[in-house]
Amino acid sequence: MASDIDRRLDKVAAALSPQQAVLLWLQEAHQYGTVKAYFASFNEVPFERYPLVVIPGQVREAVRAAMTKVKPDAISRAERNAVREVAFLLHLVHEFNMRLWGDWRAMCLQLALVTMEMKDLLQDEAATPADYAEARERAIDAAAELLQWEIAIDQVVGRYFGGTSPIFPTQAHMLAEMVGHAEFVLTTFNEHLEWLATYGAKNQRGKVIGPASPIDLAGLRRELLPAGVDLARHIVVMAKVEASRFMGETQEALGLLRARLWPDAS
Amino acid sequence: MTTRRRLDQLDDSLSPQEAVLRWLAEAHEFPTLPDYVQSLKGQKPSVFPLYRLPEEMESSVRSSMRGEKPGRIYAAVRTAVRDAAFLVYLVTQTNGSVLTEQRANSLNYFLVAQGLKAFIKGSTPWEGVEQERWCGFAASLVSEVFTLHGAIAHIATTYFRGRTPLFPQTAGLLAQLVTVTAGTSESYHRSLALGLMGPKPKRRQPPPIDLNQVREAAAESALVRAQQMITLAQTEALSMTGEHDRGLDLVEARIL
Repeated sequence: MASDIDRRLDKVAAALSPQQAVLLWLQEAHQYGTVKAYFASFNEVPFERYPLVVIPGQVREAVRAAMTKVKPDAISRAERNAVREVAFLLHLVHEFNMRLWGDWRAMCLQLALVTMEMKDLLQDEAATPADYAEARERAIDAAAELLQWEIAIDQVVGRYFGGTSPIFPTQAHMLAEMVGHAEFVLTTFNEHLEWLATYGAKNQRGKVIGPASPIDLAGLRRELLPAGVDLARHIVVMAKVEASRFMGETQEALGLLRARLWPDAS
Repeated sequence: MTTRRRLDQLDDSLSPQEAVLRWLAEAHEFPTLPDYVQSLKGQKPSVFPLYRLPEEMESSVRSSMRGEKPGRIYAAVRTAVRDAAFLVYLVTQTNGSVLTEQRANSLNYFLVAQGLKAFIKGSTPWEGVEQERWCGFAASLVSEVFTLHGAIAHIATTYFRGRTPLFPQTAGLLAQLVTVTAGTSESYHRSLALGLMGPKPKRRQPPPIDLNQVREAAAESALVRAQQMITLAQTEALSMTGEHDRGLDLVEARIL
C-alpha cells in the first residue's frame, strides 16, 4: 500500500508541466553519468517504468487535474499536446546524447591527429608558410567541430531545459575537456608564432617574416555561431520527427523530415 | 496467358527477401545511401521503400492466398510487411554504421600510418608513452575495421543471399579501409621482426601489441555487432507494425 509520502509525491508529480516532468526525470537519469550506464539500468525493468511510458502518464494526470469542468474534447486535445511535448523533450535529450556520442570518436581522433602534426610542425625548422597554413586550417577544423557542439548545446539549454544541459555529466565533462585541449593546441600555435616573431627570421628591413597569421579564438567562436545554431536546429527537428512518430502522426513526421532535408522542394 | 500477365503473377508471388533484393538492386544504382535519399526528393510517398515494399508484400500475399480465411491472410500480410521492413531497416542500419564510422576509421588509420612511419624513420623513438599510445590507436583501428567488416559480411550472407547491403561507394570505402589496415598491421609486424623500429626482439619476447590477435578477436565481436544491427532493425520493423513491446523485448534481451 502506498504511504502518505508516496501519495503526496504522486500529487506533486501530477501537477507538473511537461518540461518540469522531463527535468525531474533528467535529474534522476543524470545520476548515472553516461547514457550507456543509464540504458544498462533498464535491464530487467518492466516497460511500464520506461520514461516514455511513465512521464506521458504523469502529464496526462496533470492535465486532467488542472482541467476540471472543461469539455472532454478540450481535455483530450490538451493531453495530447502535453504528451507530444514530453515525447519531444525526451527525444531531444536522446538525440543530443546519441549524436554527440556518434561523432565523438572521430572528433577525438581528429584532434589527436592535428596535435601530432602540430608537434611535428613546431619542431620543424624547415617548415614552409604553406605547411603553417595547412596546419592552421586543420587545427581550426578540429576545434570548430567541438566548439559547434558547445554552441548547439547552449542553444537548447535555456530554451527547452530551464538551464540544465541535456548531455549526461560524464560526456559533458569530456566535451569540456576536449574543447580545452583544442584551445590549447590553437594557443600553442599562436604562442609559437609569437616566439618566431621575437626570435625568428627577419627580412632586410628588420620586419618579421611571419609564416601564418595567429588564430583569433574569440573570432572563431563568433564565426561558428550560425553552424552551431543550425546543428541545434537540425537535432530539434529530428526530435520533433520522432515525437510525431511516437504520436502516430506519420504524415506530420514525414513533412517535418522533408522540410528539413529538402527545404527548397515545393 | 500473356507474358505481361505471367510477369505480373511472378511479381505477385515475391518473398520479402526477393522484393527487397530487387529494390536494393535499383537503389544501388546510386553511390551512397544519402545519394539515394536525395533522389527521392519531390517523389510521391508511394516510391519510398517503406511505402512501396509493404504494398508489394500485401498484394503478393493476397494473390498467393486467394480463397483463404481473412484472418490468415491478415496475419501473413503482417508478417511479410514486417519482414520486408526489417530488411530495409537493416540496409539503412548497415550503411549508416559504415558511414558514421568511416571518418573516425580513416582518421584512426592516418594516425597509425603516420606514427608507424615516424617510428621506422626514427624521428620518434619506439618506446615509452609514444609506443603505448600508438599501440592503443593501432588496436582500436584493427578492432573497429575488422569488426565492422565481419558484421557486414555476416549480414550479407544471412539476409541478402551474399549481396552486400552497402551502397557501392560505401562498400568500396570499407574494402579500401580493410586493405590498408591489413597492410599497416603486416608492416608493423614485419618492421618489428626486422628490427626496423629498434633492436630486434628476443625470440620469446612478445610484441608490445599483437595485431593478428586483435584481428582474430574482432571476428567474434563482428557477430555481436551484427546482432546489434539486426536487433535494432527488427525493433524498427516491429515498431512500424505497432508491436512496440515486442521490439523493446528484443532490445532488452539482446542489447541491454
